[in-house]
Amino acid sequence: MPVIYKKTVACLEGECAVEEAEALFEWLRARPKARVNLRHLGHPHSAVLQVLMATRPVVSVAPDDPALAAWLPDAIAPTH
Amino acid sequence: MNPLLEAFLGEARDLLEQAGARFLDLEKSPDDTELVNELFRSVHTIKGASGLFDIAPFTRVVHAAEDVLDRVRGEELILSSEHIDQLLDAMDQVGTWLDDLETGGSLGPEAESIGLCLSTGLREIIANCDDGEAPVGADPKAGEAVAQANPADIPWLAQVPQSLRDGLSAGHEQWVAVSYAPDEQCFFQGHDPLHTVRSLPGMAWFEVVARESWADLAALDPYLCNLEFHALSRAGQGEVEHHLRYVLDQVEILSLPSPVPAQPVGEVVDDMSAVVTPDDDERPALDTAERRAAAELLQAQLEVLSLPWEVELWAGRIQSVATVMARVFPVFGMVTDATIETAKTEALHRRSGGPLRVLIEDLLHDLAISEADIDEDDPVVPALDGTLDVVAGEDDPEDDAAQPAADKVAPKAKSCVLKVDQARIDTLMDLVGELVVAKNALPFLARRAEQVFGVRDLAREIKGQHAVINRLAEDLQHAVMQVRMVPVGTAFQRFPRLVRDLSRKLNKKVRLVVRGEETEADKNVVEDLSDPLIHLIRNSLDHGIETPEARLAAGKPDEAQILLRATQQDDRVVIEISDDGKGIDPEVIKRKAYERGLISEEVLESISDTDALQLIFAAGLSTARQVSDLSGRGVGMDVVRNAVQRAGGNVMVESELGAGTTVRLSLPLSMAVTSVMMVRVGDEGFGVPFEAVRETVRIDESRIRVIKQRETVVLRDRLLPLFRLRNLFRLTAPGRSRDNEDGVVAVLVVNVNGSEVGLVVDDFHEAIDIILKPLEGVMNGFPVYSGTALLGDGRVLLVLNLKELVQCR
Repeated sequence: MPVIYKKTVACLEGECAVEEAEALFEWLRARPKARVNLRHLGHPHSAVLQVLMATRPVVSVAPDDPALAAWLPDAIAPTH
Repeated sequence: MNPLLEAFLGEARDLLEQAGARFLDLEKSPDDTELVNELFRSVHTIKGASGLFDIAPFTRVVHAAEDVLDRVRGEELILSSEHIDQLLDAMDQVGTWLDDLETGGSLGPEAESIGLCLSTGLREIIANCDDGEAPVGADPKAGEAVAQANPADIPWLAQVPQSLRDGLSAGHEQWVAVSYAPDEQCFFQGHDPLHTVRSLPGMAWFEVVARESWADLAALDPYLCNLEFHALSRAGQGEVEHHLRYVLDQVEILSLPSPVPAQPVGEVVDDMSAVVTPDDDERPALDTAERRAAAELLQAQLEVLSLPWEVELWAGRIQSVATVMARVFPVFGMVTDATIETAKTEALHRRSGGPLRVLIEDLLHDLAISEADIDEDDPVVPALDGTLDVVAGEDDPEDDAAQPAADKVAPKAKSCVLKVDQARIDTLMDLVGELVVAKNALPFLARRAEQVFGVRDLAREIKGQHAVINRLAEDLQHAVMQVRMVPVGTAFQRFPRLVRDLSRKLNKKVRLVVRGEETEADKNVVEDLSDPLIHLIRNSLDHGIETPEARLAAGKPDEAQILLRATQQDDRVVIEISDDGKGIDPEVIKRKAYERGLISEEVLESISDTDALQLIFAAGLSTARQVSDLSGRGVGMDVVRNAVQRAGGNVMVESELGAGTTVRLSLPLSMAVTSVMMVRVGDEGFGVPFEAVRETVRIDESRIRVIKQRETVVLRDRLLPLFRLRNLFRLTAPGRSRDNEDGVVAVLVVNVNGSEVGLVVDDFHEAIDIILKPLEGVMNGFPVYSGTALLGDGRVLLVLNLKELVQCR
């Protein structure tokens, strides 16, 4: 399961394919205070990335993958 | 011409011709799904094969056409006549390009703009069908502007971290800046722009921004791409362009200038750059020592280039030679970076050191001349001249490195090779076939002589003559078949390039090992093989083999291996494609097949893992999570099976989860003569393809059990379903076999689709060689027969298509 939905946290794991984008979008839109756990995220499809950037959820755990951690949290919640 | 290109040209022309006719048919009957499928496959195959060559505009146009057809196939789009016109225009252009490729070895000069125009037009069809809005084709200005840019013109460079920017302004490295604004509809075309960017060669930094600020969440469509990517790459411009070749209309690639000469290497070079500044317009005067050092460096590069050429090493070797040259020679003001870059890109594409070598030779020549002016006694010059002569003598850089000695032998060897039009051989083969049939008449004649005319001696003599003619006919047939035999290696030769390109594209490390390429098979069989093999190798690379990280995590070496092995087994050639990738999970296949309605629920529960794996060959089953331009559209394996079966072969897959997958194709060595076993049902004789026959048994009626209204018999601890041909053909004639009188039935055990069934017949007869003719005209509508053959006594034998036969109960 690439996306596991808990009460207020969505865990993105492995390769999140394009099909996940819509469900994730609906889920995040319905829960403005929801957080996302990206620890085990491998690669988000662009559509998934776009959903995260548009909805700007709080990132509860940054990705373990350093290549992702370097830019993804910043892209979701820009600091500048 | 390159044999690979030659094969591609021939194949693409055939497919193009088919496609042209199909498009016209489609215009008449737009609802014919089979027609659309065929068209899609043709275009898909052309696109796939075109990826082997450096013809990006070509690939882009065919890719766009394929996407349009995919929509049509998915019933999302109905083609109007205007659309068909557009598609036909595209196909015509593709045809023109094929001619250009044949005559000039490259696409015409305006290929880029024509290709862009055509593919944009085709993409507009898709865009219009998706949202019914005005065309959203690519902005023509966004075309492949590839230019030297001033960093100040690129605003987003301000986002680049300071540490990288320092390196950039210091000019120690060459950078390429990429802006990528994916098409809004790109997700529907199977693109993942983020993946494309993350896998950019030499990627040093990238950022992703929203193209337009995010709309109100309620109005946001997550499947309309609103992203823009900016990236910096250290790789060469050509490499970056190649990586982005399918989206070139959506990217802007800018090469950032390096204000200071390239980083010097080694002491010699340090000395040189100390005395020389590249800004000087005139060539600086070099002293003899420097000149000699430069000549030695060049010489060394030449030596590197003329070492034996190993497929795995060539890319790295060209890179390193080009790097050394790029770092050293602009210092002399002799060549520019761009010249070297061009030569390198060309060398990489042509897989030969030729372009670089030519450049080096030119440089050496220049050096030698200016040196002669200064110091005629310098010993370096004669030595260099000698080298130059040798190198210049080999005018074909494609071959010389691989087989330097062969060139001298070749002209003599050629004189005893006869090139013959294939049609003549085919005629010869047909005649031999007729001879085989005619010869089969002799035993009948002998029997008639004995039984009707009562001359036993004559019968014996005829039989004796038959044996002689039989032997001669067989020898003749064998000899003609030998003429048509070609090594299967000819079908393999395009794969190293395919594997290399795909593995780079997918960021996987893959080694292709080819064994048994000298195994010979009929030319038609080998030609039929190449498409299925391409699909299989693509599948292995795309789905079978894991990323290097995943491989290491699974305890395997990071470099995967694809083994392509051909062997001859009796009168069949067996080709195996095995990878050591992640294997196929039969559970996933079962579930997918059930979801797609390919198998019923009870089959889902009872099917064995081995049988479940074979389901990957069913039409419409694709386990790919995402459609890529490689595979995953659910046509590949289906095409493979159909192509192999058409050639009279079969295909099997074995897989161990986590350890790899093996696909085994088994094909007849030759298709001309088929062996069938004759059986009798009622008064009729039928032929059963011999390769399907497992055994013939006679069993007692009492052993037949009826399970769920189906007659079965237990044979050697296996349950064998029985089909009574007499019932299937509704034969009521009382022609009973002598063996059946005491409650014994004759059962022919045959293999159908990998499982064994028993055919209850009245009697077995001998096996004979026949020439199978397909059914034509009104008979075409009876799929239960695979064809007919003429028997020696003039009767027509109907040959059964077992697969269809077991479908009807």
